[in-house]
Amino acid sequence: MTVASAVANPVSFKGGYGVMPAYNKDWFDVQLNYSLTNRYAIGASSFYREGKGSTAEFGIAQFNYLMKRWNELDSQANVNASVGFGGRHDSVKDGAVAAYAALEADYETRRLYSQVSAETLQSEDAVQFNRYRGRLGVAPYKADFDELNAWIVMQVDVMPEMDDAVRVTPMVRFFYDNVVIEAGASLDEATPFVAGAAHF
Amino acid sequence: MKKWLIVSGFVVMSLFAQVAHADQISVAVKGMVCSFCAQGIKKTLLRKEGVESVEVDLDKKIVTITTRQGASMPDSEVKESIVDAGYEVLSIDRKGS
Repeated sequence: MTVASAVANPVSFKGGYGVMPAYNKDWFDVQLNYSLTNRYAIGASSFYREGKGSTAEFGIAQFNYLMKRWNELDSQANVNASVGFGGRHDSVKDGAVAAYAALEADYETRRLYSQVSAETLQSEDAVQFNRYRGRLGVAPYKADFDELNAWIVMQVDVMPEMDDAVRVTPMVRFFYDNVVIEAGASLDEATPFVAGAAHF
Repeated sequence: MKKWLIVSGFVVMSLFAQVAHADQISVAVKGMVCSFCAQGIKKTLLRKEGVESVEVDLDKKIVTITTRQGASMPDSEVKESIVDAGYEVLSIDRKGS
């Protein structure tokens, strides 16, 4: 149910809107999406990155595609892709062209949640930020539709262009109604991680 | 005159009975494992004019739709709504009220 930096699928339901902010010490993302169908969503994203000696802001118009979904009785699996184009702003160049792409796969039951993703931000002057993410989560109890859902999730990020290239972050993940909130801290430097999502 | 009144009364009552009819539709759905994602089913169905309420049971994988008095929702519309939300319909059962 996740794509790249987002904590929820940007393709939700036909006519649905999604907002997904995510914060870490050296990056901040926010995505806004509108699902045209149950397969396609368009949106706009803002990415802020503080890497090895460079800081950049990206504004991206994004297209998200749910490539494949497997709906089973006790599980669901998805493969999602996103592409986007826009601009980069930083001290090197104001108004550089930028592109974004992400690929994600996930599998979940009511007690198990797993996800892998790869995401790249590319722009002029060879400024780029890549992220490879893996997640594994378990739910301590099986919550019903109208109850608070709680998950314990381990997240591993590999980000070659960042100061901490590998970040392992245990976190708690809650969702209730149409809102998801995640919070954790990395094992090495206790870097805080906060993210959320809402579909409406 | 009396006969006419009785007949008219029956006609009116029968019309009212039809208008007042509401459906309870039980839909078995595949893929409902996440309550956050399944909110899309509720939101999609509640946008339909004829839908009064929607209940989701993740254990039984059942979505129960109650229509407004006098409103109907054909199977095709039920199925379309569930698919629009990203899920698959296994079966549809109806109960009038």
